[in-house]
Amino acid sequence: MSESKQIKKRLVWLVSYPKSGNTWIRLFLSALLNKGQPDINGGLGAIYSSYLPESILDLDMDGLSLFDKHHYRIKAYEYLNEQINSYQFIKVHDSYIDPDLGLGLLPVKSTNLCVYIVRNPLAIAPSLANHMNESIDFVIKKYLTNPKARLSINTKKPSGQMEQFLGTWQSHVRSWTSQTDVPVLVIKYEELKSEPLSTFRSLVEALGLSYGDSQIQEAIDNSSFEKMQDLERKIGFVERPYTSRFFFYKGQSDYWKEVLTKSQIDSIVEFNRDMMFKYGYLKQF
Amino acid sequence: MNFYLAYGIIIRSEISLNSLLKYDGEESEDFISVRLGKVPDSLLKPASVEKPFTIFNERELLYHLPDRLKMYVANGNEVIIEPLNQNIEEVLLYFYSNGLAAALYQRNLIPFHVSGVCLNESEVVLVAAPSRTGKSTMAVKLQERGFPIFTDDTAVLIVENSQIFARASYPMTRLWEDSIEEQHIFKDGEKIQVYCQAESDKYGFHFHDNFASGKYKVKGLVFLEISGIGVELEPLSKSRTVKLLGQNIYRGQWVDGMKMGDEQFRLLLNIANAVPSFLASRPAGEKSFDGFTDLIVNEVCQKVNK
Repeated sequence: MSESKQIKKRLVWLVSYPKSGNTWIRLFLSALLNKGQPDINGGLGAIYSSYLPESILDLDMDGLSLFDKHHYRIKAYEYLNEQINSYQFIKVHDSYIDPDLGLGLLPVKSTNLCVYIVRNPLAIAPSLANHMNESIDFVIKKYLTNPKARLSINTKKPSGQMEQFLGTWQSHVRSWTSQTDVPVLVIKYEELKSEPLSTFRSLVEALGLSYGDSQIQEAIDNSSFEKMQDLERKIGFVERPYTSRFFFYKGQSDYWKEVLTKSQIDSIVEFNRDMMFKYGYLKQF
Repeated sequence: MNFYLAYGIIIRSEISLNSLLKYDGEESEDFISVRLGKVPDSLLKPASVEKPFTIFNERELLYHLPDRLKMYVANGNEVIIEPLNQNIEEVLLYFYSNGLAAALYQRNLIPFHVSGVCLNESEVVLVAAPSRTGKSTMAVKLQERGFPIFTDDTAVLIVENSQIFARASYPMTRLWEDSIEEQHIFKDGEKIQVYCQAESDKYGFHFHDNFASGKYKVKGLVFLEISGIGVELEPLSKSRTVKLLGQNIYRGQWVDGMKMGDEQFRLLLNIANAVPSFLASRPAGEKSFDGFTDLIVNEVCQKVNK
């Protein structure tokens, strides 16, 4: 592989609205870099975790204002970038800009690439509802169509997850794909499913990694949804929320057609029309 | 001049340190001096570690948190604090945490992330866990079952004649709002706001009158974990105890730069050899600590106390 100490920007951010295939990409990369075998419970940081910045900055993130948390977290990741000599993949669900803070999310000078995984918001709705053990109506109202949507708001007791600004699905997609601070590779979840080899290969090439099709295919096979589902049932999965029995739920692109009502579909479309059309999730504008 | 005690060490301070226990015992040549003043711009000797806010070698540490404080800690006996804002109580939080921890490391002492309760007048059980796992809440729940508080959040562990002893940090318990609502040891009117700028509600409660300032033998060690679907407790092997202890060293990220790796290894082995240790797990999202507390009382506190 071509990855080397000469690369000065070593942080690669795996970005998506929740339940859009972020973990799938992470497990694929884990398999690819680990001779075909994914490490289901290790190897990836998450930008929302307080623990890494706390360890680098020697402080308790809970004692800081939201602005300082974001500002200092950037310093922590800049420091991390200097300490490592290979790519670090980090999961992100935040929107690129938190409008209340006016701060960009990432250390620009340390960022090699953002991989933005876009998924049909109609498919996200039932998946997110299962993940949170909430109704589909709830997640549509609170997240997908809510311009002020935030994750992990903990006023009474922090969980170690920092607050994340999401906004609507559309504003999230737009925030990442329209900014020019950091390079972004957009990958569609649906194409990961329909054309896995060429889609994952585009990711491998964007990272400048030298893996052949057989190695990429092996990593795809070993990080398949069905294998991860089996593995989770056997050994558990650290990212499973306590609100849901399993992290790996349906994994089907069209499951939403069976469960969403017309009014739920209309609501999602109303708030997300432009980007849904742009990414082919609406046939007519 | 004010005199206090923290981790069994005398603190001689020109400023009030309200969270520490006042000391009125015998004078000693061995103390940590704390004063306000201009912090040096650099260390006297080359740094072994340079991080965004912290620079240190084995004898000196500089900490600079913008808009809050600069702090210099040297030789385990000198702390200079330079506040960068008017909120001295918030500034002192970083002395209680980083300042004291640095002085301990410089004295070849290792602090652990533990809370604990007393079994009697000379013995304790400690509860170890990373932040936000429920150490402080568990210590409060054990107090409700009749075990007096020993320490909240940190203690120093030392080896003497193959036995393990603990010295408590200082008499303040810090609890999040939801834990305060679930307990009846501390009264709501006694709470002190810990963080001024954060959006979360964490409060401190003093327990100066009940502080166990002496050296206590460690009779049991319980590691808390959030996992699984039920409340469980299992005895730990020595190797797992060493591993988990290593993960619960306070400011454990400083150990290598402080040249404390050998001391850490020796101490962890001694603790694992001498102290019965357990892993207690509870499911995430579980609000009630009662069943969890009962398990630790019945299977740890009562058994190791026999």
